[in-house]
Amino acid sequence: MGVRFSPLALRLWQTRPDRIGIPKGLGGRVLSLAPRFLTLPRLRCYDQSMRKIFSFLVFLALPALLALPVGASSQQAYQDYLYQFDVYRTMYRDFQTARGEFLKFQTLTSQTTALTKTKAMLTQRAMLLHTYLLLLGERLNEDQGLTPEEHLLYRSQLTAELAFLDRQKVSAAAPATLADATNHSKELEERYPKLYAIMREIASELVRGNSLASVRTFDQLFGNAKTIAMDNRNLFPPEKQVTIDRWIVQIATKRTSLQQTLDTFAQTDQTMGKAATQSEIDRWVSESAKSAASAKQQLVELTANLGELAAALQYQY
Amino acid sequence: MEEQLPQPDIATPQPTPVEENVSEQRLTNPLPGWLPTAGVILLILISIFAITNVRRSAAPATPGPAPSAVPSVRSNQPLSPLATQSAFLSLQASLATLSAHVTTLSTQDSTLTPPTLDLPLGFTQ
Repeated sequence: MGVRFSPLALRLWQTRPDRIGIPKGLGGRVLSLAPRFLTLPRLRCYDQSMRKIFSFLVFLALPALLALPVGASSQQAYQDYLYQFDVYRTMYRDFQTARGEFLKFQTLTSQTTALTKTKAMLTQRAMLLHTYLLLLGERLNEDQGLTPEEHLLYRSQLTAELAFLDRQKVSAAAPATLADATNHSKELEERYPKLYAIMREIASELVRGNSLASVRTFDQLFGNAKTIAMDNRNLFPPEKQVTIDRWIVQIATKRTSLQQTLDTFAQTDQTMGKAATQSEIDRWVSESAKSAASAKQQLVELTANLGELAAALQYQY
Repeated sequence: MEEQLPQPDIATPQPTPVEENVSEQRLTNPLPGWLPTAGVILLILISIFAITNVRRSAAPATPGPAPSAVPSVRSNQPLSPLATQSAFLSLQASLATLSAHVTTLSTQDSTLTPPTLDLPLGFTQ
């Protein structure tokens, strides 16, 4: 005797996904990407539950699969910069060779070759600087130490310089003579001190931002340690309380000294950004490096002191 | 309603509705039931692997924390009641992480050194 199915069962079988097309809704669209075997006869008895489970798990996994580390874009930007630098070096060597031949032989052929190589080098030079500024922009995006106002300031500076370099890239193909190419190059030469100052300032500020992010973490932990110490003060004998108080005062004093170092660091970078010549800028770069080293040393000592405070809280006597 | 829907012709005790438009490919080559479950588990494992790889590649190598200048010989001393509190343990763990991190802070980022350029073209004699 054969089995008779109810009209509902038959209707459900007739309206399975391959019959009605792509189901509506995001879950259905995701499920439409699922292998067709989900509609195999063996699985059709729990189609609905499997569909829901599969959709849910795909939604859970997709963000993780698509998630990229924050540093990935700056790593890519750095690789791009290194590549453009290699290309620039090659083009600059070709330019030097062509320039040498032109200056030596002064023929029309050598002049034409020199002009071609010069224009190619000028274009690549603008591209190289453009790529470097993009690298600074990516690192600025990843920074977690600088204030939003500082981020805004540096991004606006980068935007202005990127626009200038874009114009340089386009206009580098225009010169018809070596004199025109020289005049074109002079536009970058005159702007370069300001551009160099901005590049150095932002690079130094990114180092300061790294320090600031660690200092912020330290401040949170120090605050937590002080709260724990104050809330549980009565658990310790009076002598131990004096020791704990002494550690807290010492750490607070050193923290004030660190803040002065960080403020000096910031002022040095600001002065660097306004310097007029490359040699002056390089001098401020050295000063900033000293501030960075001093800030790091102080932060290491502070962290060690906080460790001593935690050790004091850990033991009864 | 029953008159409109054709009843399937079933010969075996296991009810398997039969229709004229059923794909022969599905009925003749059924895949094992455990395959979609295995696929889902594989997807989860791949995502976990991707996350751990991402964190491993993003996090710089951190050396162990440096010992403090004054070694604390406290192994015989009794612990305070704070030693087992979750807030204190969390503080200690975070402090260890911070200590390892600050020792690797860079004071000069060599990857951000601007390119050295010779700007004047040198055609004027």
